[in-house]
Amino acid sequence: MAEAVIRTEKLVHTYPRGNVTALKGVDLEIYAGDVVSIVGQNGSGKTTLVRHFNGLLRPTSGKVYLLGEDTTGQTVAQMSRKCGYVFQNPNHQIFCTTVEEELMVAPKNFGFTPQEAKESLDRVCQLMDLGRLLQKHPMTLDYTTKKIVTIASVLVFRPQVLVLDEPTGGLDEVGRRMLTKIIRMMHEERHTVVIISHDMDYVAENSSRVIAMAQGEILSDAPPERAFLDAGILARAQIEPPQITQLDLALTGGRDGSAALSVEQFIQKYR
Amino acid sequence: MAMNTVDSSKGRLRSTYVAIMIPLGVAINYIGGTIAGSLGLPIYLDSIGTVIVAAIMGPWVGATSGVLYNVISGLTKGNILSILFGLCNIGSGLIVGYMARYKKFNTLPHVLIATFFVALWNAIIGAPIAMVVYGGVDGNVGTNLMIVGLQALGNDLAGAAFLARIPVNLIDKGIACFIAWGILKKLPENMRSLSGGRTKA
Amino acid sequence: MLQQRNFPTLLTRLTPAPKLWFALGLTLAIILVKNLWFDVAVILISTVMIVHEKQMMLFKLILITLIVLFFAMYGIHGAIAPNIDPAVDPVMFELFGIPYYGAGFAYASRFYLNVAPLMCALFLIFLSIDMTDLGVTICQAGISYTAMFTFIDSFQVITLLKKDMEQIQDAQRARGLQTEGNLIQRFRAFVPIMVPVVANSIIKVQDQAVAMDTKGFNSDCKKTIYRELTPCKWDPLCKWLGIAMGAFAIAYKVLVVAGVIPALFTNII
Repeated sequence: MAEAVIRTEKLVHTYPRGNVTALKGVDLEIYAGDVVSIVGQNGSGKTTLVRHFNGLLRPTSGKVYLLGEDTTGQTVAQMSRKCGYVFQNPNHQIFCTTVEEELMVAPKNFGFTPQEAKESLDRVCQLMDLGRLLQKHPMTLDYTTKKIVTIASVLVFRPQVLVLDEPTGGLDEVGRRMLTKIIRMMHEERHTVVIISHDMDYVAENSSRVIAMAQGEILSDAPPERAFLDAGILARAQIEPPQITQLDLALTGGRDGSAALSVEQFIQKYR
Repeated sequence: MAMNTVDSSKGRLRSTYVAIMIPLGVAINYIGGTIAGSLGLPIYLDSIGTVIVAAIMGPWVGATSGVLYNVISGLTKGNILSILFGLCNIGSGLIVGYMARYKKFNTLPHVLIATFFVALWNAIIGAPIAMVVYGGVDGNVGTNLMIVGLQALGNDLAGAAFLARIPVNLIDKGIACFIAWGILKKLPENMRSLSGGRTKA
Repeated sequence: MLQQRNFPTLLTRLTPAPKLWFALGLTLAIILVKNLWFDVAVILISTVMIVHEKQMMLFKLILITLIVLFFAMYGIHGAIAPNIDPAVDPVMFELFGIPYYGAGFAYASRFYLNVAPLMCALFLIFLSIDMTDLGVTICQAGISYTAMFTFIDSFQVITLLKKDMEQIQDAQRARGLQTEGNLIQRFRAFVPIMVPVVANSIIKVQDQAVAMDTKGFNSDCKKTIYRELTPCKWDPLCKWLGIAMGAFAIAYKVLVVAGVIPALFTNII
């Protein structure tokens, strides 16, 4: 069995303010090439969990391993080099006067040579069609483009793991397609993507695994075609399957052990 | 995000902007100090908000923001007498605000000049206030050490309190002015001035 | 930072206006009368009340400031206060060969015993004031709605900006920003955190201004105050005690300065 890229052992995290235990002994393994979506209601511990992957939060007890190494003693910068994190609000990351400078922030911080930085910049600009925007002020861009810039500013240093916090929030269709393209590229390159999302349609169409969480615990961990079958777990996690999946389940009752995740799959199934 | 065609320079919308920007200046002063503290920097940087608001909204709005910061800081810490130091912040806001209004806060030499005048104002006004409130020395270790040194050289306490505050303010207010100027340079054009002119979409 | 505490103690039941009167009266009494025993009593009573109200965690920062101030003021003024005459004034003790004068101790006490009791007492008074109630009180006192809004909004914005700052700090650290290390590295981390904080807040200002205007912020009609302050039976006592203290302090000071009465209560020179 391949070694896990991210592994947690009995991970507990208690926030000191309010004495809230956000994670209650989470055991998790994520492998190279996985596209994992973590779903659940607000306060279920999703963000708390993923923030341990790049050291923004540290375990109260338990262990976190990133690329096989114990993260105890590693700095946020060391962990962030391997695990890139794209925050939900792009305005929280932008501080440079041009898109080009914004994309160069992380390579500079991580000690890329000028040649490496230039190559990375060119690669990301080509991938995400940002060449024409390089000299623009990022704060003047529309929300979707800002979000693409912040994703690019993390992709530019080629992390092994990419964490996306609510990536589809506020994105238009162009942005969603761009995001899908990036996720597929990461998957093909055997890199790992972790998505926190409430967008079940997007989760269903783009994930290889869906982890449902509630009250600091993992309720289920399954491929998306099976993840939306257990009504009890869905109720506890307070999530609803995509509408097309609900329609399929209403028609079949889940008897065939899987559910359509997209309109195309539904048509295929019932043609 | 847009909002770029609204004329924020006059009338009632301007007074709404004023009502929002003044608290923002207070908050930026607070946060500047918080960030400096969390990074373990040996300076307080509690004038950045005053300078930014003065540059964006004008001298009197900046001055009001500065003095309100001292009022709120004094109330929340219980040190009501420190509200008097608001007079220093008024000067900071007026100096930078007028310089920005006449486009004299755009280049490095401008910032150096602003730093000099702001530091001088803070020393001239701050020293007598410190004499009245604290008798000359206060909680700032750097200032106190300089006061002791200057007194050992033969200056009286009032003179030492004034002279010690010049380098301290040059450093503290200078860094605040530079950082504020740097932040303003990084903002897009339509955010740099809400005190005049119709901006383009 | 002022926050509402939902504990039903006497302090929180009192409405803002009497507390403000009391704070004013206490401030005048401490500054104008300059009585050592009164100041010490204020410090002790305030400390007891802070412990009783379980606010020691928040008070720690004030305590540290007071301790630093104590050592700075007494330590430095004891040796070099302006009223010291080395030829005449008695030396209390010597420390590392530096004489410490009684006149310097008295000089430091003149200022420290203004600041310390005020910080202890007013910290708790203002901590226990609800911001919305304070806004209502300010409006009822005749201050304009815009001025009241500007004052109260400052407290809200500080909390919001602090949350933004934490998010932004995390976002920048996730791109490799070094927030530990030597002074230069830490100083260089300041701008990447500060710029998004300021820029984000200015973006919000533009939207907020339009939102407020469309909700009648600048309308000419009188604003409705729908929040009713629940009076407490101790409000009148608190208010009149504050007024009495303030009036006494002013009258006493005027009479002493005018030479009508000796400085009966003043024992801090």
